[in-house]
Amino acid sequence: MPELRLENVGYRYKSGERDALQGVSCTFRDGEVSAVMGPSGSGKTTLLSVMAGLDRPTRGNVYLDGEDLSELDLDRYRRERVAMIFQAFQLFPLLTALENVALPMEMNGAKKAEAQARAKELLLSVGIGEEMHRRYPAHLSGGEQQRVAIARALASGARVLLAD
Amino acid sequence: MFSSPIPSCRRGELAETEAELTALAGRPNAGLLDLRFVFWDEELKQVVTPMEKNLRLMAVLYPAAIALSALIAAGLAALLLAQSAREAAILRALGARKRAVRAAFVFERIAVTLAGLALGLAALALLRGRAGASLSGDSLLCAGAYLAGTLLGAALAAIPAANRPPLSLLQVRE
Repeated sequence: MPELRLENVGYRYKSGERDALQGVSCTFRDGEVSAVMGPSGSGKTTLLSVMAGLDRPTRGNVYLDGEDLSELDLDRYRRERVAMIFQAFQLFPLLTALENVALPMEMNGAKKAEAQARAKELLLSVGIGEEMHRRYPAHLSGGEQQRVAIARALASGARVLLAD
Repeated sequence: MFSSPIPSCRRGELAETEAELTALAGRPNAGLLDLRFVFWDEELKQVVTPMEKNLRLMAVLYPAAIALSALIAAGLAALLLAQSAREAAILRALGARKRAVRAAFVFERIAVTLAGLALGLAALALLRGRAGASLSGDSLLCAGAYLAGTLLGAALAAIPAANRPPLSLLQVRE
């Protein structure tokens, strides 16, 4: 069964006096929606960073479908297997909604026309009508921007969706 | 008797020329009449001396101006690049390699700078052309220094921009 599994994960920042993460072990199974809760500074972002492959844990291991992340090319892992959604959307302001969604696919080597066709489908599937595809993020409402961001996260075909 | 031409006075040779002319006039057979040379150059000196000072100052200021323009280019490129830290973070989160992020930002700065320099040089050529002069090597040198400064500033600033932890840059601060 596909899953994201953390095993005794520890993380300490280079400048840190103590561990930001200590002995974190948990499993996120396919189809599950999980929430990580805790006060500010408790290490939520650090945990997400490690799961997103933006950082390697200083101790322990992260496995996706049984594959150890420490043995994977993390840039590729982020391009193909995880996607992130941010509270502040983080769309590129100088790209249209359509281009924002097409970008991850183009980064994965898809041709521009293909990527744009797929981006169109994705945008329509999250309820962004065709008239909004050529708009820049600044000309979309907050909710529309969030949906564009979700479409972008789905674009890479990633199995793991991380929302910060 | 008049075979030796009157020496022409070049920049910085005023004193020499004066001595030469005085010597010429003072020759025993410089003329049938008793020739005396009166050299009145106060006005000339008044005009030339500050000009010479200015020229000497320019000779010092010119390389300084070129160096300064390169420095400003480097600073500006670094500043603009530091402002794209958030974009760098999004690209990194989407899986772009650090190298690719750096290359993209440096390339962007160079492209914009080249376009700006081309516009500037074209305008300069137009202005000079009206005055009947062509574009000097100095302006090209200055443009080259500016471009080199941009390259250096962008390359140096791109390293930390791609290295910063993406998530901390992309979070909403509460």
